[in-house]
Amino acid sequence: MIITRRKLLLGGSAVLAASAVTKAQSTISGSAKPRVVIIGGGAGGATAARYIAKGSDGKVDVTLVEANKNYHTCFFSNLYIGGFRTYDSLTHSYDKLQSEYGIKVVHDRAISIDRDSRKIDLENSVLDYDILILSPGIDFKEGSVNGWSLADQELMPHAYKGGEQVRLLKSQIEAMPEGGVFAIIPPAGSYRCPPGPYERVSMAASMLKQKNPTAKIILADPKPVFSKMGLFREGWKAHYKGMIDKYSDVDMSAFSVNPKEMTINLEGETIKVDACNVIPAQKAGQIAHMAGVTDGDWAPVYAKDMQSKLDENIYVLGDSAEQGDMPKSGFSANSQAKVCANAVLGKLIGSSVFPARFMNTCWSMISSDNSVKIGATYQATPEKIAKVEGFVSDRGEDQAMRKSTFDESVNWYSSMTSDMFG
Amino acid sequence: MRAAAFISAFLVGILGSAQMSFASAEYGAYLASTCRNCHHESGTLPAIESMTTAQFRLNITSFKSGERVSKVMKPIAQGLGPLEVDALVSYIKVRRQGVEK
Repeated sequence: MIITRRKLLLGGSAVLAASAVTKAQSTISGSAKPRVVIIGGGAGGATAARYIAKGSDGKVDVTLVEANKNYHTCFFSNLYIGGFRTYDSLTHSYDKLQSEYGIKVVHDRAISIDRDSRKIDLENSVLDYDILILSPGIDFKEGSVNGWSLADQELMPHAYKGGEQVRLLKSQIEAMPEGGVFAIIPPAGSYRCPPGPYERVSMAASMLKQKNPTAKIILADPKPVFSKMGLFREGWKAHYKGMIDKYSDVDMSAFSVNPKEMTINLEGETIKVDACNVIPAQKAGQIAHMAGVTDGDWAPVYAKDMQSKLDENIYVLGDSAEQGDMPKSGFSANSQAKVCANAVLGKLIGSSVFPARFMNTCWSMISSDNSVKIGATYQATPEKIAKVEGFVSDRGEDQAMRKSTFDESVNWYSSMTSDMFG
Repeated sequence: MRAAAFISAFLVGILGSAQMSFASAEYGAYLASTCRNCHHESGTLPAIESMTTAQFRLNITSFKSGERVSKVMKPIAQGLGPLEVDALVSYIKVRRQGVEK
């Protein structure tokens, strides 16, 4: 039924478009407009809210549910650790989305979703929806690092969601005694921002080189290889020689941390650490699991529009989605949100639906005025979001090229956050 | 925002017929949303709406051929066929008529 309607809408019949709107309206008593509710006000959710509100010209009721009053970007948070950005410069308000785009921003937490009656229980109210877009980012898999649980996040921060956790980690690295040890444990499996942990090593090293040059960094990585590995290793050798002890392919069953003692156990040896960043293995945000749209750790979606494979009224964006080749990144989530917004508008108000196209670039800063990048264009195939063509910075690039890549990343940050928040 | 609402109303008004061509300003607006990640009024690279249509075509052609070298722009330009370039040009034309002001 729904599939038939969508096919007909793609055909562009105004009459059928009108009947689709009528149908959407009839599902909610007393509502004059189809209702879209978006859970999660990050790169996916804020972008989807803004593009749906902007594109619907007032014909769709858009509600954005986000627990936090302000958004602290996870992207560029490593630059804050390195001292290249202020905390305030990573903080964004939802005010414009409300005042300029007519989006209802509800600062609350979704606790359950009834898919049959299309109702969402928030802690303080209930919302009805015709279309629900989930963009809840990531949550952590308990037990992925022996000795660590979420209750230990003050002692050994994950700092893998923007905001307070990142501030805490930075203050702990800064407070290390002279010649102290900072350990970082990247995650195994599929996780947010593949180069993120290694940019973090670079930024911590950059800060320590200035303030605590005899300090050491231990990188204990469960993976044998990682994103932009050649570029990072080249940069570390050139800028942070002797500061970083690298362990790869670490057997996590034999590895553990002790947050109360501030030690790690690596290859049978107990090592005292002064700051420790445990980035656990990850899964879709909890609300996606509670909604029952996950299969394993992530929420499978169709590549053409990010619609859940398990519920035609739900779409999943960004880190939580299992979509194919795109890395989990803010840029990816933003790109997916635009495709999703176009499809949802087509479904609700009969506007034109265009073929999906996606884009991502991840910039990583290695040292002052020295950044590298990796990225690709993507298209929707029946099976997945598939990479079309990619690029990556070259090893041995000159300083001018690296500076220009850094400038590009700063320009992207400002464009991207304007695209999200207006 | 008022400008944005006006432009979208304008696009829907003149181009929103049921059987519109894909090489429309509306398709162009959809494609341009990807450009905006880096080419935004708030950033340092020119917004595509600030380019003349001739400049825009030349930029895409030269990135596509490799005459202008850019790791990021090459795959983007190569992903734009004649239909997409025409759609983006239609969109830029509409925006540059100053309707949004």
